[in-house]
Amino acid sequence: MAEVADEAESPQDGRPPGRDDDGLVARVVVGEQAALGQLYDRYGRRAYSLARRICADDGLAEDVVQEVFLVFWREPRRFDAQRGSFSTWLLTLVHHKAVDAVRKESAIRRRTVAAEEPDAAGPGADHAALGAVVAGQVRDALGGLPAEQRQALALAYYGGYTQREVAALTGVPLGTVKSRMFTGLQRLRGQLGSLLSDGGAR
Amino acid sequence: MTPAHSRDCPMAEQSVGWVLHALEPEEEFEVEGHLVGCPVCRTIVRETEETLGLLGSSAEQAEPPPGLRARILGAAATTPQVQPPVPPAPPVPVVVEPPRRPAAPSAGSRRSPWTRVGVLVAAAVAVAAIAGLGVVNAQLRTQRDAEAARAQSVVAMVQQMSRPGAQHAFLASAASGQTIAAVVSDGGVRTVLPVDLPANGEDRVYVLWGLPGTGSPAPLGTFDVAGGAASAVSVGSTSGGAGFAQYAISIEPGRVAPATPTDVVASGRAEI
Repeated sequence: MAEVADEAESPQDGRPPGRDDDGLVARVVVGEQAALGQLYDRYGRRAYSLARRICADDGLAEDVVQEVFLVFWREPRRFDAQRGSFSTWLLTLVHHKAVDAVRKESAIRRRTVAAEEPDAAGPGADHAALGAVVAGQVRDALGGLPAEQRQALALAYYGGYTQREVAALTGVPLGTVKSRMFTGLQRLRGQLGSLLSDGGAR
Repeated sequence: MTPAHSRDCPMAEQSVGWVLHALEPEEEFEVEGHLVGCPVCRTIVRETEETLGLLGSSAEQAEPPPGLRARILGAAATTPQVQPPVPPAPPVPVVVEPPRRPAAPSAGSRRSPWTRVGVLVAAAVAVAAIAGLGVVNAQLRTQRDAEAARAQSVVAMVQQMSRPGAQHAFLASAASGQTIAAVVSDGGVRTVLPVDLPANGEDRVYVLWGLPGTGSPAPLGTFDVAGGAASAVSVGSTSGGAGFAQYAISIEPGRVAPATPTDVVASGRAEI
């Protein structure tokens, strides 16, 4: 308990606190609600911020975050530490559920939101979760992509559009959309390699 | 058309689309089936998840509503955990699959024949199961309804096997080598058809296990087989994620799944 408190309280140091997530996860597996609370303290803000970005609706975002943490509570073994970090797994699930939620909601709303903001995050935003420097790097890397790759990725990732919808929206063939997303992500990964090799992954 | 970049597998682009949750449902099923047998694409998935995790983390940060934490913990307090409270699987030294370059990726060539064979075998298993059932039920007329229900569930299961993306496995008895159960995993929902599993009784339970390509077996859920005619049973469900390379059934003392299987009674390779 005590040894994780300091990390849990300072998630804004720039480095995602991933070192002893596995210990907290193990405690959730054996039914310890306090451990779930500590994981929420670490990642709740990041989860909520991503859900809010995708849903463009505070209430919907809140529902998504609650659903995600409860999914993890109910079946903690769905997270497999051998496949990656807890934060990556959690954000993947947040993204998935948020996209599902937004697809159920009015399509009109997300259409406006996604199209307006092709870059990763608004400038001047508070990027405390990853640290301003890291968030800046991510933003720069996105900004460095060819516009059509950035647009395709933003529409899918933040807008929750399917590739087929992105093709229709941007007026390019589906195969080109698939290719743009693939290549864009490869490039991003290349640019952000230093963040991924150590702290990001585990 | 589109220039081929460093795509180590023809399904690489689709795997990225899958992580983005941007595919059509039928494509999602197809990728999930493919991932089971393709370490190259599993690596792509893992890497893409990491990269997108950074994107997700860099979204404009906002403070969640103050009551959310309490609501989540409150809901957790009344939500039973699906998995029994057992210690987590010991950290097995994982063989981290290096993205090995297959000489000739042949994802497409393998698929359709297997599906066809699988469905044929499934149909044979189903017929045997239904026929066997007739004998059992001749003794007990009151089980007619159960028979109808079971026949229906078997037919539904066989139909499910032929669905694109559905994964299935025929589990052979460790002792006799005969097929004694079948498993279908479709969109995260797993169904077991106990063709010839003995009744487990009250103090023991059957556990379905999924064996990933690398790593430890994961308990997927428990189920019971009553004497005589057992219907196809739904065993646990998970949404998303890849299927497994193999499935197995063990019989366990007590009513909950242990961390690792004790007595494996049947196992088989997953087919798409």
